Amino acid sequence: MSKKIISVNFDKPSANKLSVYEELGGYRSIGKLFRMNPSEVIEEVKKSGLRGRGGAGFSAGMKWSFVPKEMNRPKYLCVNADEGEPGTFKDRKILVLDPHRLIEGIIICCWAVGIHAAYVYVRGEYDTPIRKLQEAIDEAYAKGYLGKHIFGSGFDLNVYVHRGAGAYICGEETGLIESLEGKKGQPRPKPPYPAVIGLFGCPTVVNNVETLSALPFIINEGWEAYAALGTEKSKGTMLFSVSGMVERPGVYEEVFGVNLWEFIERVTGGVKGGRRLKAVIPGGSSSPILTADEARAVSIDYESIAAAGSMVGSGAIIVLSEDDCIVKALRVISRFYAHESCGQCPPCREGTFWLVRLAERLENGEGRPGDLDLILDLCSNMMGTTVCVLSDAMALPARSYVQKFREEFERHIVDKRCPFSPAPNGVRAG
Amino acid sequence: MEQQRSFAFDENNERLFQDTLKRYPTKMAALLPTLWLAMGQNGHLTNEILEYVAGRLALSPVHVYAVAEFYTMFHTEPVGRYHLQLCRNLSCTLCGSEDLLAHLASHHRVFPGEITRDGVFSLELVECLGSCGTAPVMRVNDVYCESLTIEKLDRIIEGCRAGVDPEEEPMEIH
Amino acid sequence: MSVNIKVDGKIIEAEAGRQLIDVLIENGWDIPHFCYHPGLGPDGNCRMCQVEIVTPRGPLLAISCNTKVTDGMEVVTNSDKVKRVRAAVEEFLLLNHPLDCPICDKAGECTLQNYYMGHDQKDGRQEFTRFKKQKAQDIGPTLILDQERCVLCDRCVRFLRNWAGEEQLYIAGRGHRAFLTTFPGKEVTSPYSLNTVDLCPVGALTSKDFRFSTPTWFLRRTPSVCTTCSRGCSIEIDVDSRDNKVKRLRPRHNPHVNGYWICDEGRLNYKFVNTDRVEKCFVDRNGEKYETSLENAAREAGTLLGAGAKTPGSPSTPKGAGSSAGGKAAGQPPLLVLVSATSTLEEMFACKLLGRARPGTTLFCVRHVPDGVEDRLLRKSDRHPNVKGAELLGLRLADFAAESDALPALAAPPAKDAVLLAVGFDYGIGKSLEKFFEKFSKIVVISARESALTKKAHVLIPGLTFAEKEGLVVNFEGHIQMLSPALDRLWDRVPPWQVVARLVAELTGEGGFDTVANLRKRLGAEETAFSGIDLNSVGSTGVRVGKSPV
Repeated sequence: MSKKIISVNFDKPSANKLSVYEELGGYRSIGKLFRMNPSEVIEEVKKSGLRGRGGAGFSAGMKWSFVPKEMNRPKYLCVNADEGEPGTFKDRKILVLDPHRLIEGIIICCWAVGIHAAYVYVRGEYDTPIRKLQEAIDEAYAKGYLGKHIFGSGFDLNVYVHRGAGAYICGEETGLIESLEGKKGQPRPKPPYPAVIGLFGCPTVVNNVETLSALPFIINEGWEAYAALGTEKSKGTMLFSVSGMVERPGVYEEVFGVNLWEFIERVTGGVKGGRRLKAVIPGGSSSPILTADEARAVSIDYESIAAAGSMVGSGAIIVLSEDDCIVKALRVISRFYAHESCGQCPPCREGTFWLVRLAERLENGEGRPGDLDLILDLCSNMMGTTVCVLSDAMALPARSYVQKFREEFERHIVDKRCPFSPAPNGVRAG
Repeated sequence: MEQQRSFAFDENNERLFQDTLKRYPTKMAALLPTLWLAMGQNGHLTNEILEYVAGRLALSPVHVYAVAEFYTMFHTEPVGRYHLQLCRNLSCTLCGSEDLLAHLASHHRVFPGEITRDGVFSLELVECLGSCGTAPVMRVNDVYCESLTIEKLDRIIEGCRAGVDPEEEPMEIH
Repeated sequence: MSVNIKVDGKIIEAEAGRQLIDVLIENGWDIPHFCYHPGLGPDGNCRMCQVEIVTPRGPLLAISCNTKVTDGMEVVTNSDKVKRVRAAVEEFLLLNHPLDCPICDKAGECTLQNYYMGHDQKDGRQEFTRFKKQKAQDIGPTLILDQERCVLCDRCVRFLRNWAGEEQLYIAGRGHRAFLTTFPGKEVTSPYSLNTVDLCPVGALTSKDFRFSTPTWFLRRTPSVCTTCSRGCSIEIDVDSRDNKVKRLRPRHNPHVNGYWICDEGRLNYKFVNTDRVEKCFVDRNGEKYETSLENAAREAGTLLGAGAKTPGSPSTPKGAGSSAGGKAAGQPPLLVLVSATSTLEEMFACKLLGRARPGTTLFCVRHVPDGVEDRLLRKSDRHPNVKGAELLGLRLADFAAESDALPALAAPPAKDAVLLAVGFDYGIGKSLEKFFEKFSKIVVISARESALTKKAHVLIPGLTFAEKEGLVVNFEGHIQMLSPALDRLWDRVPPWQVVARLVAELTGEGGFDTVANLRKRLGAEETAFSGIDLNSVGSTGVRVGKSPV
């Protein structure tokens, strides 16, 4: 039985209601929290080893410690609930099933860093999560858990829900900040980093929903209890969103360090319909693909997946079977990145455009022999040269598809058609 | 051709707009929430509405226009009574969304980027909706329709034609 | 604080905290860039200015426009990686860029073209249909926009918003579909709009005024000064070498006067140079105008001005009534010398010498061009470039903006036999000035352009516009700059200061000045306002009166 820290309330009916949440032990950490010094809290979170669960995997405590201690500018927390990374659907669960856990985590973070205003930036499509979150926030205000003198302390905290409007790039921390300020969500050059100059020019912490939701446990049980789980560099648990060609797709919490394929098989029942495994994308569409052999050999943690040439990212695992076409997958994700590129930098906006055209013609059987090397060259021109990493998020996986499944691409070129079309098992929906 | 009346927030939206302003230290930051209010009232954002919003927030009209064009969910053209947003991203494609797309075309004469002549449906291919566990997924107006099959899709379409809004299923728990 | 940094192995000194790109360019490195501009600051979107910074983890790419100089920084600008990045960015920009060069105004001064030659030069690999956007859009009184050519550098947007204070352009949309636009139906009306054409690194924004007029490689560029108002912005006059006509004006960077920009009004105020020119000398005989040589015209002018009556009591003294203030000439008619406040210091000084040489002369510097709009950016309401110069020379100023036909500064209306010498009234001659000139029966005019005044002249000698002469002007803050001739003199025209100097010679019998340099030397020596300034070397950005040379 896997350790549940974030998803412990998911199967408890009405856990999104404040009274139920409290019965289940919710908001217990606040009493202890206010007896701790803010810098003690930062230390606790640092030592726990909690890393950002939105995709970047940066140490949460370290990020908080970058915020200057000055008092002449207000500080802000932006909760990143933009959840746009394809394959990811875990923050949604938290917002609908256990929103008070997030609020508790927000309070912990704001106390530690000295923040009195938090904006939860939720992607625009998430109507139900927005509604459920706002209900929970309203409950918290009504009970004095948010607003002035929260929990009867001298600490003020306001939490606002801010709705996005359909732009994946607003999940990038500076893109999110720009969007919150009322502009296009175009990422900013870094430095300066948000911790120093962020929202409205003020020191800002940007944290993912899941990251903040881990905080109540850390305060309640102590950093050691969290750090006891997982591996040396990947502490604690993560909510893995597993989808694609598996029997039971869903969100599954697991401790870092277990074998990737063993975990997937255990929780989802393995590849759908008994098909053979072909490939696994371990960390959202922005992560390089792993072959079946690689997926069976690697354990899920930041260091092992990185050593295998990919990334944990947002923990979005997408499984591909023997019936799935990698060239089609490239076409699908390249259209995604071309659609979502903010358009600032030439390598990204033009590079993604170019990749879409190349992927489409490869899939249609009009690919040319030079296309594969062209894709590799153009991908390397797109990496490390842009304002933000959307360009790398396109180029790194694209390169891995061509490198690891080169034969499949070549078959498309030689046969002048997609060998997987029509699907061998007929119509797939249903 | 309808006479173009001047757009202004109705009483309820005006109240919501004033509340919105209080949540941000700058007027500019209220832009996205204000555009949501305006789109909620009018269905889509005309140039006149964009100028109205610019005036209310002391922003240049071209800034508001640029923002409306940047974000996919802000409709600057009319949409059908039921705006179908079918996910075309990876997990949904793996689970058969392209078959649903083909079915919408062949059986229901609904095509991407168009409004049906009776004004009932418009179809947009969208990117990942964040519910890949129940792929394939289609958002209908603001409701998630999940775990779609051809049959389920047909039922939803017939329901919409009869004026019955689709309902979101309770969230799956594991 | 001054620190040492190493660039491509070479140690250079730089001020800590400055942008690396500025330091590199100032020290002679060629760092390609699109979105950065020293007058706008960095934006960081074009990625072209990337260089490698050596760190403990190895060389890392960084945009030099947004990297501040620190002590001991090590920079590499010529590695294979940097060269590759530049070629890659250029290739990406050309991917959807339309093949418009043959019809594009920017050809010949286009950054994209120049960088292709300098940093790319590879065959195109792009075979897909380029993404279409709107072309040749009329977006206002001054600009045409071609969205396809736009490289989305955001310079124009930032300029209009941050400097001109009017956000009228914006990049809308996302990804490769993003497009530069005004609000639908609205225009760019900023009075500084045309600076965006200079700023635009490609031909996306073009000037309606200049569009399709001249391939840029035919343009001869001369540094000079705008004379439309008393700001005196530094400009560059671009002349088509095929027909020797001024085709456009552009700003020239002057940190002491106008920074990097000029206003549209001044920029477009050059057409008068090409129109209604006085090309020959004329003398009036009983109402008929006869073309004549400069020799003859000058001699006639001298006679009119009283050249035959140099010494009191001379037998050739014409009959004359009372003199104006300061005159003691026996029998000479009063002479009124009016020099336009659009004239140069040299012209004004020569008139001053004339006044001294000829007793009974009253001299005024006249403001006659109506006031224009003044704003908090560059435009001054005073539309004369050299009022301050006149003040420093001690000339009396007279305003002629009023409706009346009297020169208010004159104590009494001019006598019936008074003579008028008008210098430099090339434009802006209103009705009241016209009526005033009618009071004179003898008029000598030195003017570049035809007007009601030149029609009345008894002696007419062609003058020169600002685009054809060398001369000093002093702006409202006391900043002295030099006009440089941009046009070849096609006719036998002589600079006005020299004409006036000839008249002085006619009157006094002394030799005229042989060179303008000598005139300036004498000006500098005699006029205390200019002491300590070498008027023959004010430099390309001028000097400030009262301060040491900048």
